[in-house]
Amino acid sequence: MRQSERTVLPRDPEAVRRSMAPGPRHYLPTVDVVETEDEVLLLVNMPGVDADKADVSLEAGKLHISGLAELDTVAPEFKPLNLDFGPGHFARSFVVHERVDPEGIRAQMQHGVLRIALPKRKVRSGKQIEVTRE
Amino acid sequence: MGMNLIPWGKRSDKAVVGHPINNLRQEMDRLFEDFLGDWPLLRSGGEPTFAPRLNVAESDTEFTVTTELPGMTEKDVEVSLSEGRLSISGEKKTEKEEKEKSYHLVERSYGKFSRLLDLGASVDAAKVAAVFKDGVLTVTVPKTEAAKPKKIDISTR
Repeated sequence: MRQSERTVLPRDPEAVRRSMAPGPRHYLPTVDVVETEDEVLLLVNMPGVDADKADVSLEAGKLHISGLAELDTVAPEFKPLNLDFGPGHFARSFVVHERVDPEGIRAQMQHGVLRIALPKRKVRSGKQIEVTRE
Repeated sequence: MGMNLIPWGKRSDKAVVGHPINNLRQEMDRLFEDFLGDWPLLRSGGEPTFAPRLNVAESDTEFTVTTELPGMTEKDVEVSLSEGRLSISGEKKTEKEEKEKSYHLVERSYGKFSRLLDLGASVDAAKVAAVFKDGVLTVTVPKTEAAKPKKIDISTR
């Protein structure tokens, strides 16, 4: 069994509590960006965030993503033995290419993942000119 | 030998026994293992590829273990308790799409994952409960009656 996956429970819960800085924590969500012919897809990990608490906005060519993870803090009758994560805010921004059609942007939140679809504008190459036989 | 985040090279036979640099090296290795011990290296085959973040808290009556598993549901995860060891494992599969794709950024973890936790013998495997919400799995492991602290009345003679 590999050492890396096994959690060694520390003997000092107070040290664990102290190591969690007071106040709201800020997290940078991990993101996958995938491009297809029709769209650019962003998959944003924000575990603990409900759809009501996720926000997506486009402003001056920048896409702003944020979310509030309302997780339970450790109740007083509990000793924290290991705290890798806690309640807090996720936030991240991306610059968006002008080929993205802002009207068509769709965002869905499910199972702690925010999925944002950015459709690409269809490029019109200009007028089609008919060729006639002389 | 543990897993090192940054390999320090094999423990050199040439290192002088008792040299202070050895202690520093061992301390650094242990530091990485204890505090960043769940940083994964890419592995092939059936080995786990990542270790999701995990919280553990203990009260008089139970352990609460929460794990971040975004994008997953009950069918992706297996929770089991055997001889006091809690195992949370499963696989995060990639999305299958037929269209041609180019990947500009891949930060999220995929593949098999596993976390193991030794909670001790005084836990009641029959009463373990696991709940998924917004990609966070909460496992509650009650302690056996014998393990709960008992208040002992002190009588005066």
